[in-house]
Amino acid sequence: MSTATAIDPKANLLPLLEGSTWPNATEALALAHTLPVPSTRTEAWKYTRVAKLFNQPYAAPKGDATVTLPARLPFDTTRVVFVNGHFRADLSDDLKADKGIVIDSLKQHLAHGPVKAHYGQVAPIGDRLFTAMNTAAPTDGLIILATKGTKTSKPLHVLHITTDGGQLIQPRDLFMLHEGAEVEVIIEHIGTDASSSLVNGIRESVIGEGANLTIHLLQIEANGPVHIGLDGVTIGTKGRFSIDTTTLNGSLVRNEVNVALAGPEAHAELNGVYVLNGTTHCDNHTYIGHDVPDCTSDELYKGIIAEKGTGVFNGKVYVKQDAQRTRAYQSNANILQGDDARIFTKPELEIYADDVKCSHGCTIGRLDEKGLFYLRSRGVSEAEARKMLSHAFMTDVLERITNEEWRKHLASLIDAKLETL
Amino acid sequence: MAQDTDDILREVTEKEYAYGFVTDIESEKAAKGLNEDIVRFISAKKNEPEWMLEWRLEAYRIWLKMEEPHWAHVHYPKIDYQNAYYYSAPKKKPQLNSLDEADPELVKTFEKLGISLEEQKRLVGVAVDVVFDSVSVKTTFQAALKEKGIIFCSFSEAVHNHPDLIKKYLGSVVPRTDNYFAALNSAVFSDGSFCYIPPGVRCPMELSTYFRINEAMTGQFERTLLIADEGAYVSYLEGCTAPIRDEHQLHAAVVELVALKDAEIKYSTVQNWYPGDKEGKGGIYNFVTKRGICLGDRSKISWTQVETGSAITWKYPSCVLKGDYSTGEFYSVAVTNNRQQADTGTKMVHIGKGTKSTIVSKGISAGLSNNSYRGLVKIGKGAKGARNFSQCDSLLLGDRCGAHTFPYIESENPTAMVEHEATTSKIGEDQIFYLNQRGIETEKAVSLIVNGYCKEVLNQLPMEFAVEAQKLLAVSLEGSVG
Repeated sequence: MSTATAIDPKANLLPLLEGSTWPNATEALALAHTLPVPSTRTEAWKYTRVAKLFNQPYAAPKGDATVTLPARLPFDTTRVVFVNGHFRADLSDDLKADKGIVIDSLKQHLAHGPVKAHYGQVAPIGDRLFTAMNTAAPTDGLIILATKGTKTSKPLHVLHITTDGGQLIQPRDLFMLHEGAEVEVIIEHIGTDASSSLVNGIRESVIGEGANLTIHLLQIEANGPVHIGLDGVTIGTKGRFSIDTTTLNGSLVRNEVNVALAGPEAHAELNGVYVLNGTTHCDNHTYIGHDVPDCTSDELYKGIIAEKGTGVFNGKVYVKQDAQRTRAYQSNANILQGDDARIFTKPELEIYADDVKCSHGCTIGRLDEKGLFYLRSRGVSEAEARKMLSHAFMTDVLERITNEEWRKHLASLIDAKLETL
Repeated sequence: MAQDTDDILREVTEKEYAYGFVTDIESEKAAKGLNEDIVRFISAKKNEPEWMLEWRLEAYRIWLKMEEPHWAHVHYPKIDYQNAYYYSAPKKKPQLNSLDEADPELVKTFEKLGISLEEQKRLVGVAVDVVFDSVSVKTTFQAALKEKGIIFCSFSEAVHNHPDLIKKYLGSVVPRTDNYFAALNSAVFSDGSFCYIPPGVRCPMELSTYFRINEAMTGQFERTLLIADEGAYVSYLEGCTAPIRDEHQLHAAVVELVALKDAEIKYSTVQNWYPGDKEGKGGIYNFVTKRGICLGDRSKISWTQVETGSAITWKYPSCVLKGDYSTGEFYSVAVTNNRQQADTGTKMVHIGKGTKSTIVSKGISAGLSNNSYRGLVKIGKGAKGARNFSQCDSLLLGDRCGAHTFPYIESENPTAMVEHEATTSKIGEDQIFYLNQRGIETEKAVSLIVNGYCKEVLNQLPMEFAVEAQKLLAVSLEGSVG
């Protein structure tokens, strides 16, 4: 086999990324040309195949598509709408209501100091092809800049709508929270009949001293696009980051969360729920770096996998030398239903400090037969009993979500999903 | 008290290898380097039949096409495979009936190790197949075993006397293509042990091999094949110590276990090879492939290991659970100190219905060492009702060492149950304080805690072996910590 005659599998896709004026775009494109497409031999992509994504043509995303917006959430939020990755001021609410907080299209702020200082720093390219691709030509994204001591008066509700197939959409968000700021964001992806599109997103978050960022991520996309997402987060002294990722439908979903606990007493909380059926493939990939002493992290991912669904969980906790008094907990629990459901999980610990308390746990099983029997013997139908137990299984993840209204909304969506299993 | 702890930790870190010595026995070596001629030379030395030579040559060709794996969490300078001897044998092969006839140097060696053959024979009733460097020097209790129809001999003897069994099972569990080091071993293996337990026989004693790497710059390539026929039971002990050497020594052994219907194999290892000095100079590279297959229904394979030695350990004793309702077990204590690196764990591959596996791994890191658990639990589509439980704990002694866990868990059957738990921590100040309070000095306290921590694994060892294991743990940690 000669490499000279081998055709680069990215040849279809990369020309689409040329000519971007975003920072570092040229260097990123050059890197995208050299970096290989991850294969099952690439440790980080061992269970998620992406080669086929490069076998089809893509078009640039259509920003002006007409869309019908879904009903608003049952509680008060500030809505921000992106259509095929493009910011749509015409569909969004007034984003200037909160004083001291900039909420806007990132594209408009690329020349600003704070953006220049942080853009591309939290999610460096390294050997990641998808990061290089995104950096080479981001579509657009959301900027949140919360100045010292500010707080969002109500959660932001960011809607990402994908309207058609065959598009390559590369959202790029940058969230910056100054000292003591508090921001809560709900990010929802909606896409139907867009299964041949690829959404390759990156979100960088910089959390300052004592600041608090909460992200709720919701993915329900029947026939939706392929999702490759990366959250790069760095947390300063006494800062707090919390993310809950809920995946209820989709084709191929990859959620990578990469957290650096960079200041003492920083805390990260990662929660995840996935209920998969059909042929949905969901890969949750997390990395928590305890870089300095006295930080804590807590991770809980739970999933039910039915029909031909595939669940992947890879969580890594890395404790640097001298990151003493680290407390890190990680847990992944799975229920398999259906003969073709599969789960691959790999909870990792890599520890170079001694005064630490770290643990991880992982379980795979089915619904408790005794519990089912107990309910059946009290006249509950089997289907109902299964639903009750499944609901109970998810409860401890949901209970960690502090926003009560969002939790209720999520619980109803999960219950509706469980009905279909 | 903090001072005490520091002193103790310094002692652990600075503890010298107590078993370092070189036995002066004349030996015969092949030329340095590796090529087809060396493979032929080794085969000729052993008077091997043509088919065995062909098997080796094929392995050598496979090896040439492979690349050395580097995914393990260990770092070492590049190995020059052409700068090592691939064969060395004691020149005079003594045929002995009693220990008195043995080379006094050899007897002295065993005395230093505290495993006098005499004592073992008398007290324990263990048959010892002594592999000294590469050739079996002495096999005891042959007669007693023969009576039961048990074959326990050196691998080279088995090639001559039981070619049918060798042909049938050699490479059936660890094929030549399995990995780089297994291919290398298949090409140049020097000798090893072979054991066959006939149907329905319960081996009356624990079978044991003590082997040592003795010749400077000699890679040792052991090959062990153990077959338990239907309904048979055997407990096999493997224990090793090696003398101090400056050159890194490569050890790439292959162990294959086959358990047929209703058979049970218990394989216990205590490994205390030279780990290198404080600076990480010298020490053994231990790149071992160990795998057992539960071929028949209701068969069982149990691995127990106490790993205290070697500069680098790369070892994953595994079980392929093919027979329905078969069981695999893995119990491990791995201790690393100074600059030692260990990447060890197991693979449990569930194929048959109702298969069960248990993994208990206890890692202890001290000094500047790195200790990793890497394991795979794979539940195949047909493994209905399979069950796994894994517990991997790490204990850190000192703030410059590392403890890592890399478990891979894959399930494709909805009726299977898999549980994995891992914790990493240091010995709690409160635990030591509690014991101090009751008049137990810090050193003893640490010792108690470490012993308690490892107990679950040590309990799995045959009694007489557990004593030795504790002694080895003591050398690595006690006198210093535990």
